[in-house]
Amino acid sequence: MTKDNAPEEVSFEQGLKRLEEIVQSMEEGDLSLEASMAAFEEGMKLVKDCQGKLNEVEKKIEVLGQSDEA
Amino acid sequence: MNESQAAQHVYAVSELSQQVKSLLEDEIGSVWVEGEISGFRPQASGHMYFDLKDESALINVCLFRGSQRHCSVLPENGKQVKVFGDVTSYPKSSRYQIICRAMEEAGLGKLHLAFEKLKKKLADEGLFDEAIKKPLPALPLRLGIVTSPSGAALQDMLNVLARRYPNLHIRIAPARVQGPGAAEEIAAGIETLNRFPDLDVILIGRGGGSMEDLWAFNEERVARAIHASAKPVISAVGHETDFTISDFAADLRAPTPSAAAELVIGRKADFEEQVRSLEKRLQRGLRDSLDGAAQDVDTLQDKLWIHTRHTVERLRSQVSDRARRLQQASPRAQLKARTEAVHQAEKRLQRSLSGRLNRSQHRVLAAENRLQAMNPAQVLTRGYSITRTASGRVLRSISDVQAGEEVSTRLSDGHITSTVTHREEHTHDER
Repeated sequence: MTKDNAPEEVSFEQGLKRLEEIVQSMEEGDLSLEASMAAFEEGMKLVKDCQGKLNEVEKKIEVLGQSDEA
Repeated sequence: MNESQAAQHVYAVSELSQQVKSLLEDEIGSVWVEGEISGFRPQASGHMYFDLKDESALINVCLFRGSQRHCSVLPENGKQVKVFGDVTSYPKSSRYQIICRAMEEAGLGKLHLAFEKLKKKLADEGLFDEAIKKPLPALPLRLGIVTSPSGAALQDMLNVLARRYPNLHIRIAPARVQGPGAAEEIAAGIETLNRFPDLDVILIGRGGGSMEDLWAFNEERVARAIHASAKPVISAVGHETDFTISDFAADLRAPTPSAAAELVIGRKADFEEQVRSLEKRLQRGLRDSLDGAAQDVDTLQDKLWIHTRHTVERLRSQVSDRARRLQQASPRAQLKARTEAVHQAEKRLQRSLSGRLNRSQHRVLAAENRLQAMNPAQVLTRGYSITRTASGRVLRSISDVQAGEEVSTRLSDGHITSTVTHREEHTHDER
């Protein structure tokens, strides 16, 4: 965990944006069959990544350090 | 005046009391007075009584229920207030007091001034510029909150967050949110949370209160800690209408702590739906691509088939055409053709000849018939006869013969010989 928003290089936001791009290019219908399959593969990988990111963190609530004061 | 001079007029008690009352009402009347509240005692009737004091004096104040709506603050012991009211006295008890008609917090003017001054100073330094405000991450699963650990604000935030997104990692940096030292604790909380590399957004805030209550969030110390924070800060102080310096310095202002919890992160269900919907579109996109490609193949296959068949047909007809021409050009074929031609010519000739022959035959036959009809022999069968003299001369007239001459008569089937016995000439009528 080195970056401040996610363990991986690509953030959820970036992954989602890339996924939208891929879906749009497939829907425009100008891709060759080969390109479609490659896009599909990349897209599904992003779907898995995004879903993984949504569930990355376990529920935890902690009060830090010092004594509690009102 | 001395005792004997004053004795000129001896007051009645009520008379003196009344004069004191008039004096107070006419000479002083309605005033604003500032002091500290003490001895506050609400009555069952809803009317309130308290004292207003400073270091060396004290005045009783009466706040009737009807006037309480003109008070921007309720009486609280120790509170510094400004009271507007009528100075009067009650003859019955000789006590003078202020009938309060309006009340507000004292020192507000001073606070407002300090607020505006600091706001301008920090704005001029650029601490509030839009350009330096950090964008919030789309999925901040790790949050930090600087607030009172026992306050309602924290509970509100945790409840809203739990409803929106169940699995979050929340670190709470406890801090006093009012009173002396609060600003230092808030600033320290922001600094502490900044030290966690796996923390996405910091929320600072507290529930509603007076300007004095919220004052910690107007301190320079807090504004600078927000400015120095590497992580985005959301400021959520008081009610919708409260604006503090930390609100201006933060990367985002939320009107209340609950609103901050809603602004900081979307609903998990919404995110999941977004991804699911994209997944469906992706799958549909691939399916359409495959269908499209399959159709293309079919179309091409059809075209190929049609084209091939046409080509084969064309070639085949070319071949058979050549074969035919080749065959026609061969000697045997030629002979056959010529023989055939001769036959055809022969037939035509025959036909024309037989035609001619027929016509000639017809004419001959016709002539023959006519001839036959005129054949003397035929005539003979009809009863006519040819009579000749012995010399062979044919008798045409009676003068061709004498009585007693021998004549020969030819009949159809033979001849007879006879002698002329008599001659008689027919008249013209009898011929």
